[in-house]
Amino acid sequence: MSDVIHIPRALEREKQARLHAEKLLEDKSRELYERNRKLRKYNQALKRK
Amino acid sequence: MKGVVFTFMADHFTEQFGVPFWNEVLDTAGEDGVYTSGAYYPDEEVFTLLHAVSSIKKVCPAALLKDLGDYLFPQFIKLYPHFIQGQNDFLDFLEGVETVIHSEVRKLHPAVQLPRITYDRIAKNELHMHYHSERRLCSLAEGLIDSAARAFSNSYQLSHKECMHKGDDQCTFRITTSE
Repeated sequence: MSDVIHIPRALEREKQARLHAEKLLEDKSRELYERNRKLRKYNQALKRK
Repeated sequence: MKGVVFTFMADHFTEQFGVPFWNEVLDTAGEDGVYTSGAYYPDEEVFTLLHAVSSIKKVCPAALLKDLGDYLFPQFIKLYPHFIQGQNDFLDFLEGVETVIHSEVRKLHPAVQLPRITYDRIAKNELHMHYHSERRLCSLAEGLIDSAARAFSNSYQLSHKECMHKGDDQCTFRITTSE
């Protein structure tokens, strides 16, 4: 039962992992947005030719 | 509603009242409490949680929302410091919430639903902010503004002139700073 004292540290670790995953998702969303924007621009340029 | 509101709401009430309290809130609300910032959850869930906190702590939801807004601003700034960097004028910053911050959020998260904010800049030191949202979370906005003023270490006065909770079509915040 002495394991209980170790739980806060494990909990904090899990929380930090969640925050990291959330940040990763957000960074990837931004990348995706930028790439989409560029692709749309190229696409429009191609259509004009 | 964007998950980030839920994750910070859980953090806020857990920091303030402890883990057993938040567990009690979730039991009362009948929610599992599993939230992540990238996801969306039903709007009603915010209100269910809020009412659970309100009934356990005997504090009105509006006061709880204001506190939550107060807590949220510094958290947002930790995540997105660039929104405040290089900003000197508090009212200019507030005026940019819709055009700079909300438009950035909409760009990256097309499904997001944000309040619509319109402005009347009466003078260099007076701004009227009109808040429109079916969620009627004006107290949350009020807490955010309050907390933002502290970040700008600005002495200011805020009055909530019109309020949707009092039958008005929109909420109007009148903010004046001392120059």
